[in-house]
Amino acid sequence: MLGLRFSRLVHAAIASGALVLGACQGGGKGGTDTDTDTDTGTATDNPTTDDPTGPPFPPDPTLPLPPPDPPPPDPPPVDVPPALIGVKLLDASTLQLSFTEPLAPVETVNPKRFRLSIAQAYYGQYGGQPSTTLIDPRYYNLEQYCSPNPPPPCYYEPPYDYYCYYGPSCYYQSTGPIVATSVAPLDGDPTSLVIGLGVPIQPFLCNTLEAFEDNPNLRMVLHLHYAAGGLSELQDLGGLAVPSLGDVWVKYDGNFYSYQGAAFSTLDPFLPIPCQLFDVPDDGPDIPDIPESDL
Amino acid sequence: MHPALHPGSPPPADDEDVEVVLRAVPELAFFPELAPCVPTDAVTGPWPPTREAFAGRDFEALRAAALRGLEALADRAERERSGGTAFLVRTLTYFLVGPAALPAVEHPLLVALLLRSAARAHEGADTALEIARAMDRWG
Repeated sequence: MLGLRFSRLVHAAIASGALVLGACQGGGKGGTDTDTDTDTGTATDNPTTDDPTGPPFPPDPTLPLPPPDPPPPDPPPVDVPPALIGVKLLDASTLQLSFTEPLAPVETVNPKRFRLSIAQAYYGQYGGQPSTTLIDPRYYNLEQYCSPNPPPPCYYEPPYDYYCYYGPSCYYQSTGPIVATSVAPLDGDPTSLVIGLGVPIQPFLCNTLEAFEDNPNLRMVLHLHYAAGGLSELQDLGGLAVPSLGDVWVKYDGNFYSYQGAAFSTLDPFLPIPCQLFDVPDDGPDIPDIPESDL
Repeated sequence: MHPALHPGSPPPADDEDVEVVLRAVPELAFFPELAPCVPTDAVTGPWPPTREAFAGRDFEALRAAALRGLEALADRAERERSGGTAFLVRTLTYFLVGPAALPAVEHPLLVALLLRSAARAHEGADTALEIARAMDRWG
């Protein structure tokens, strides 16, 4: 059993990124959440205006100059930008976003304007400074994998199957990055839209969040980030844009990002995504019991 | 010698390779860099011993010695361009010290070294094959 328990721990560590197979693994492959992997037609057609990171600088001299600033308009009608008021999972691969008012058509909105994070806040009760860490959900979105031809979990050769059979060779591995792949209106509800995810949210992720629910010092949530700007952004019917929400994470290439200050301070509005989708009897990872002491 | 421990061996490329490399722990315990780590205090009882035979022991010295041995093995892995050895050393170190450290009786290398110490009292037991068999019976 020793070999199997250790094997599971190793595979879990590899899946979480704590261990790598080769010393330089991934060093030159580039991230999977760059602007090249989920481009939509819109992004290709007009990459400069649909880039969440903003227009290029300096501006292209071959393009006509923008018109001069118009004179100050008359006092605008009383209006306020649309605001995001809720995010929930419709199913494991679909997010529903609800707003305060109907939105303009969203077909041209680039899904890369959205990015999920596992936001973990430390409230500072231990004497440290409050801080927030954003983590790419891939490290918690683990699915169980059972090898169809498990190797004999024996340390010696040749294996004595009658003695070394420890059960199926199953462990948890990452699904890879969870990227938004589509933005579409929600039928029958003009104040909502749906975002399709490239891979489904796994119960393992929700179970991980649940494990922190009773911790008074830490809070861990699944959260959506959004970067406004450019032409094809989210707008209401009057052309007012939905403001950005934690957009630094959208523009950031890395998978871990920490900042000091009040918990979740860049997430305004703070809208944790409930993981009640997997409200099923717990069948979480089969983590072996490890004695508290060496013996 | 286990193929993963050969000079020039590639690092594991997939989950199956990882399984193969992890099976090399008993042979790794016989590398000269780890010879000083084998505890010298005798263990009485039949072969192979179970974890209960080591109850009540302080393993901190063993853990520290194993860490030094793994550091020396890391140098060997780099010198010999052994990707399998490098991965195994990295993995065993990850679970030896730090937040992911396992109890001594759950750490394969420490178990192998403890078994080697017990094997000295039994004729023909201090071999990689016998240590591997004993690890499978460790529970």
